[in-house]
Amino acid sequence: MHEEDKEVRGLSVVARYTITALVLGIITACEVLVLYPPLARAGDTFKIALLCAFGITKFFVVVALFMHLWDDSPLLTGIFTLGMIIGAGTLVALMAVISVYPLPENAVKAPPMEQIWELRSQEHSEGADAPHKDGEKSNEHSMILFPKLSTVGA
Amino acid sequence: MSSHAGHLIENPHEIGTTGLPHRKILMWLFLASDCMFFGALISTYLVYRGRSVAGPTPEEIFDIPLTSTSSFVLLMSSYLMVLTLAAIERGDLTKFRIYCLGTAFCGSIFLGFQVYEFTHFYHAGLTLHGSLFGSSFFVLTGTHGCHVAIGVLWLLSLFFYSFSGGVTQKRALDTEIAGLYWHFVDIVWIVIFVVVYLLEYII
Repeated sequence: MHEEDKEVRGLSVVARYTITALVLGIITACEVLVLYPPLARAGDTFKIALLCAFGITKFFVVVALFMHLWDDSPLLTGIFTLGMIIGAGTLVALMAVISVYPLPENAVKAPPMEQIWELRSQEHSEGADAPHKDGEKSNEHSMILFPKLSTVGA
Repeated sequence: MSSHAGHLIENPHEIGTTGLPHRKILMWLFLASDCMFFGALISTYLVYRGRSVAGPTPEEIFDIPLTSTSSFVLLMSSYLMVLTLAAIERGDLTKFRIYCLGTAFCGSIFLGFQVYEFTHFYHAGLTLHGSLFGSSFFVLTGTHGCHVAIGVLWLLSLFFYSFSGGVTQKRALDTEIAGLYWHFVDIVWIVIFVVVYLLEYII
């Protein structure tokens, strides 16, 4: 290839990538704008659909143009698609399992973290001083920090 | 056949029966497996979403303008990465070095944003073991951050390797493989940004 041809080809490649990057930047800005006025009052379903559409577009633009899957071997596309299907399948399967067998909303009513740390430090100090004297109180604390399995789902 | 399927390969033994370099196939296989890995982490985050009984909530601590800026920086690093590959495919070593260093720099800025964000969250009371949200959030974004850090080190090693004559037009495949990894890190962040940060304000 002549030096001039090489340079022209190089410039066109750079221009193509620059346009792609600009489009990606604009989409990112639009994603953030969805959370702010004037779209803030739009329906949640519409906003979710819009965000998903923007995310999917960015994802495929990067994969197709920046990772060159668009003009590369179909074998590589197949390999990557398989990975994506299994990854997305894991997500769908887990969400489906959770929707059929929901996790308990509040298995144990946990106290604020500060209280937990306080109780934990009390336990440590009590355990060091008199490990068997205040059994009932110690059990109560343990119930908060380490709930019995039988309480889960109650 | 495309320009990317027909690379200039220094060693002809690198090409297998598929007509593709072994290392390139291996990298795509790795990326496919990493898709499953991140799929599992994102699933875990979604399953535990909204089930924290302690600690700050996402709405209280997330800073969307800051995260959007870091997302934009990572996206632009992908742009610089693709220019790095284009430069070495043309044999332009000077531009290769500029773009390669620029990509690593953008990656470092992204990491800086993440460190700042993690520190801010920690001071706001969100810890790895404090709540379900903290655990799933830090594991997911922390794993992604580790990927970015590895990518930055990889790019810097390529940059310094270029001074010893190890990076040439005939060995553009090395840069392409590093680029594939970098772009993958970018697309994972695209998903995390939407699922973890943006959707949190809607659902």
